Amino acid sequence: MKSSIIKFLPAAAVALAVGGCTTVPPFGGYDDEPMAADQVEVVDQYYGGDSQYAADATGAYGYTSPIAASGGVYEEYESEEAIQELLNTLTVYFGYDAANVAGDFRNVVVAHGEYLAANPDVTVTVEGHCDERGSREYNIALGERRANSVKDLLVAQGADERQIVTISYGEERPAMEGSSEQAWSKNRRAEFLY
Amino acid sequence: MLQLFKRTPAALPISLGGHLLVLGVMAFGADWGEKPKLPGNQVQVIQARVIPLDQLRPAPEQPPEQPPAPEPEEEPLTPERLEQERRNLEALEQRRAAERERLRQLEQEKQALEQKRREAEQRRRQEEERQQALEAERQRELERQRKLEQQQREDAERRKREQAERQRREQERQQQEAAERQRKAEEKAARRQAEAERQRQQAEARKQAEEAARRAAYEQRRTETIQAYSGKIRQKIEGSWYYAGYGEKLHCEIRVRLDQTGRVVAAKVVESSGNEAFDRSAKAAVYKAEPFPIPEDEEFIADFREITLPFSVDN
Amino acid sequence: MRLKGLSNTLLILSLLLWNAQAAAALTIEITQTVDAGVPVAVVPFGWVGGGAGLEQDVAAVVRADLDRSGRFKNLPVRKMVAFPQTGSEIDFDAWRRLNLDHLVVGQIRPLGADRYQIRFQLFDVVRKEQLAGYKMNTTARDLRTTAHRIADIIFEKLTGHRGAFATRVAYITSIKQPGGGREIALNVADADGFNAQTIVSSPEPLMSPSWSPDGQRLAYVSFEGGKPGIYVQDIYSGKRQQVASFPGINGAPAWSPDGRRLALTLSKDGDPDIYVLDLQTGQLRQLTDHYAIDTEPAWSPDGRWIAFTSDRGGGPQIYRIPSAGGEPERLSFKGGYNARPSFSPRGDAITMVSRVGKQFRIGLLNLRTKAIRILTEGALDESPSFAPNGSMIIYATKVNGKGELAAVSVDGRIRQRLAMQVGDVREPIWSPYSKAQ
Repeated sequence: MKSSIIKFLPAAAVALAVGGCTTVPPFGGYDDEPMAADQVEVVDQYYGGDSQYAADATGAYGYTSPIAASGGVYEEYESEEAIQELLNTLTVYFGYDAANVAGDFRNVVVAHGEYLAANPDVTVTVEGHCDERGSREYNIALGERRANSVKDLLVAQGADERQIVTISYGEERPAMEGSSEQAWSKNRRAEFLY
Repeated sequence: MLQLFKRTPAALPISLGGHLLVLGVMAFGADWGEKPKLPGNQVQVIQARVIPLDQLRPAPEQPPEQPPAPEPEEEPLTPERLEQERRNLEALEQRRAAERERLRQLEQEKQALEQKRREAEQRRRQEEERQQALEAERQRELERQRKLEQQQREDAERRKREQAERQRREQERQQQEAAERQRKAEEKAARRQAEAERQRQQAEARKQAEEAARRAAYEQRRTETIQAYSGKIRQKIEGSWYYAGYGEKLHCEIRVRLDQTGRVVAAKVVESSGNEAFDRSAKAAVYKAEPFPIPEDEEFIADFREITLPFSVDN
Repeated sequence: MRLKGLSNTLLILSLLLWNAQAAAALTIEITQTVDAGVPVAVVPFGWVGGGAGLEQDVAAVVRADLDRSGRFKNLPVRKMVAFPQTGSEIDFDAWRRLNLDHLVVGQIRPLGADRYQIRFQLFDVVRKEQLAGYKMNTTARDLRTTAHRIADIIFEKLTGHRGAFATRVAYITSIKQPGGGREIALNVADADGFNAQTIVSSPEPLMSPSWSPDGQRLAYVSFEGGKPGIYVQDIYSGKRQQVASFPGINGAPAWSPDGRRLALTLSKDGDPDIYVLDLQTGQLRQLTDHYAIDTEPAWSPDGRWIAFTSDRGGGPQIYRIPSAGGEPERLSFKGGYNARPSFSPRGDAITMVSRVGKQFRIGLLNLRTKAIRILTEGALDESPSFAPNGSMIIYATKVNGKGELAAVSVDGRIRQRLAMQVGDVREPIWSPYSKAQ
């Protein structure tokens, strides 16, 4: 199998990633909290989700399409072990109220996309999930947006739409119980089910 | 007018009826009013009396007692009668000539008399002129006399006037002096009176000021008392007012009558909120707040005899 | 404080007026109620018959209802000075000395096999007058329901609002199974949490229950078979029907006030939009069409509007659209997160989930002033829904990481947890008044 995984890294994201964790602005009161502040409200330090926020703030609806993200830095992966490791990764995580695949998770999704493109008879279900905060049906919609974000990136790698089924469980199926930041960051995810 | 009809539909027929009535009176007024009576009984009927022209002429010749000449009988024109006529004419002619003669004699007598009258007149005028001359002389003498007397009289009068003037001046001076004294006396009296009046007014003003201050103090005490006890009453009622309703803006008004001890004699919902439960809760609060804290001071108790309590919630 | 100042001004004004016109009566404005429940005593009902009497304490159910409303303060039984059963036995002055406003007395007499008659009277202690008196026939099974009806009558008499104690609540529970996994169930219980019954259960998620306006059926979302579908189920017969199973989201069913239509969220054309499904004809009409998220529709009580959540403005906010179709109009403008609207019974307010700082709480949006009032103090409060009389809002909250139900009065003054605390409880929906009443 030819191993040419391309890593997309939007320049802006790199710049911010280099800068380390985004500082969390003080929480405004209830009144007229600006949206940008909301989106960086919970910084996902665990998975470096901060860089996603930066990209997020530029997109109107919380995710950046893969096409728009192109024009970044190209980097080649030679190691088959590395590719296999990416394919073994079946979960990608998201920032709070965000749906764009960011950071190292792009490599994971790209790997799955290239795999699907190379194996057109393989089908996958992409599940979108959210943390428990906010209303349940809105989270269903948000989970679907995450699943679709992953699906779009898979298709961008040459996978056929018909190979991919998406479903959103919102906050109904948490991966980790509890109301901690850690549990929440574990629950904001998309899962590949082959 | 139209609006009046709109407001009271009955006004239209009433007004129409009135107008018709007035028209009727105008049409048949002759029968109704006092009709001028003809002075039938008092009329003096002048009986027409034709006066013949003959009667207007004086008839001195005819003796009033003379019976009227018998109407000559119709006789035939005989020669005797002709002769008779002729004789009659002749006699008439003779009477006319005699008359003319008598008139001539009368004229002569009249002229003679006139002559005598003129001569007498001449004499009388001469005598008159003489008398006039005498009279003029007498008048001149009289005039001299009169002027002399006039001079004397005027001198006397002048002296008298001068004397009177002196007397008048003296009197005036005395009067002025008296008046001055009087005036000074009066002024002094007036000053005394004014002073007395001023003092009286001052006393009066002091009294009024004291009265006003007393009243103001009373009003202030009253207002303060009312305010203080109103606050206490409000606190007590609000401390006993429980209402279980929600989500509404409600307002009712309760009028309370209290006795001397602050007990509720009567409480009446004078304005309902429309929510029976709310009205009842307000009324219960009033009764639970019994006895109302009211002033012990008797003069203010009357102010708390009747109280209006508007209750409102907005929740 | 501001109110107090105002009433002082009014007092002075009325005093001035009073001075100017000595004949006028003194006026004192009363604007503050005691900030506590109305004191009431529900005397244990007497048993007029042989034997030990009933196991079910009817008066206690009434007492609990009144307590739960937050608008009454019950005199504990141990503090009662006497136990009259009828009006003629009441010494009003003795009760009044306990600072009581109202007193409830009653009797229960058996009417033969399993049938009872309950008589009760409600008195105004201060005025010593009867405000209500009823005889009600019931069965052992319906004793609690009858007690709720008594509480409804008392509530209505003393608040001017219809009581909602004899109503029900639908909610979702999630219980861990011994072999791993969870059992998700849709349940219906009395409004006080008793008589809970499971309507449907599944290892897959169940969510978003919605009452039909006649209180006979529930619409909900089930993920059975690995994909979401919308179902309508008769709660008495258990008969159910799948009404929507499109690709993508099938969510947030909301029954129209006339009971003939369901508003719902579908993403079959790419993005979640609001649709209206005619339940008789199956005809589907798209109401919103926007690439952003549109979801969580809620009908206004008059059926003219559908409020919904949309993030078309950046973050989730409340919008409304005419139910017959038209232009969406934004309703919420304060805060960065307002979602899951639900109308008040009068249609003058919307309750919703509002984020305050990092906390998610229950907000009340006044539709006239557009002001938002936060009613709760939790960190993860959600799924608010009004009682049918508008007095309370039931919602889900998290206590020590576990989902529980709670209720808050519309003024935010009274909050309390509800009884049905089995497993993880969420998504409570208050039923409409039942037709049987």
